[in-house]
Order: sequence, then C-alpha cells, then structure tokens
Amino acid sequence: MKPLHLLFPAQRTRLPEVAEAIHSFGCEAGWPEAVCLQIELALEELLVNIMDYGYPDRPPGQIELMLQASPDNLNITVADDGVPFNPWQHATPNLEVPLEERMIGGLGIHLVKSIMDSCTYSFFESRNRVILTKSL
Amino acid sequence: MLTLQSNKRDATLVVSLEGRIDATSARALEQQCLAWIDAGEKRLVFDLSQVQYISSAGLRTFLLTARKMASVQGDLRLAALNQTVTHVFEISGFSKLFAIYPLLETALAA
Repeated sequence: MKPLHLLFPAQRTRLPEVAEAIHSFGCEAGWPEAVCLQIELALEELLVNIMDYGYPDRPPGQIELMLQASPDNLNITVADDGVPFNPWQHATPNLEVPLEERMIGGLGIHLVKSIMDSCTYSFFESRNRVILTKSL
Repeated sequence: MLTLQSNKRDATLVVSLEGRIDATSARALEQQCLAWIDAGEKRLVFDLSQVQYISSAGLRTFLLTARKMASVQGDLRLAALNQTVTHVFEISGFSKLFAIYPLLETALAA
C-alpha cells in the first residue's frame, strides 16, 4: 500500500485535516474502526505536543508525517524542527492517585505508549524524529 | 466536531455529546461545563453514547469538571461509553476516578 506522506505547519488548526487523512488511510488499508481511532489518538497526542511546545519563541515550523502500512504492520514517522524534545523520557503519570491529585501532564504520551508496540526518538541535524510501530 | 445538547431532568442536567472530544473541541466543552457548575448545577450526567473518540484533551476536561464538581459537593456521572472510549478511560486509569454507568437510564436511576 502506498505510504501516506504529509507536510503541514505545526499549528493546531491543521489537526482536523490531518486526522481526516489518517482516517482515510486506515479505511483504505482495511483497519477495523477501533484501530483507526487508536492511531488517530496516538498521533493527536504527539502532534499537539509539538504544536504547543515545539516552537516557543519562533513561528511554527513544518511537521512531517509518514505512515507506512503492510497487512500486518504499521510504521509511523513524525519529524519536526522544533526544540529538541524526547517524549519518551517523560515519567509515566501515577495512575493510582485520587481525583484531586491526578495530574494531566504526561497523560497523552502515556496513551501513545499504551497504544503502540514500540516508540523511539532521535535528534539529528536539528530535527526531532519519532518512530512508532504497531502490529496490526 | 462535537455537538452538545443539554436538558434538565428534575435536579439533574443531562448532557448529551455527539462526535469527537479532542484537542480541537475539548476547550469549549470545558468552559461550558465549568459555567454550568458556576451557575449552580450540582448534578451532571454525561451521555457519551454518541461519542466516537476521546483524547487526553477530553480526559482533562472531565478531570477538571469533576474536580470543580467535588469542590461544590456535587455529583458527576458518565454514561454509555462505547468500547473505544472505554478503552481510553481504562488505559489512562480514569475508569477508577469516575462513576461510569452502562446506560443513561441507569446513571439517572442510581
């Protein structure tokens, strides 16, 4: 199946169209609806992080997103030229504490890790690159 | 895209949501929920049967709303989560934080 390759500004206003493109890609690949929604979720969490924190003192750059799917495997690359940030270094939030003490920070990244089988990070030539894989 | 309908049943405000609670829609929902509590609502039941998708932005909305509700000794319930939404509540540990009911009617009757 032809990979999905998207390049878009790191701005939240672009999220709906990106979600739509991921959904169409998943439908075409024949994923169950639940899998489509999980992949959308993982990517929303990662993209929002980059959009909100990647460009604190300069105009948003471009995010590059690539989805490659075989019948039993999905490989996703997300690259950006924002500040160096390794999302997987975040501590997992404590999921056992009561409502009043629950922190929301880090929850999105925890969801990504729960959904995907592997998550890697590298920083090379001023670019953050996250690679996610999932068996389908 | 998220649409919202609310109607009062006795002392309870029933909020029916339809669509996606994501980074784009969560903020407006959060403001509306906090405004209801400010206006004196003490019992909120959310009917999530038509919600297909929730991300951490949506979880945050429910967390903040529940905290505010707790501060006024109010009651917040969630009803009719589909499988996908239930899964997100489970992996985030949120299923333990909320009163979740299989159906709207059971949430209202409990």
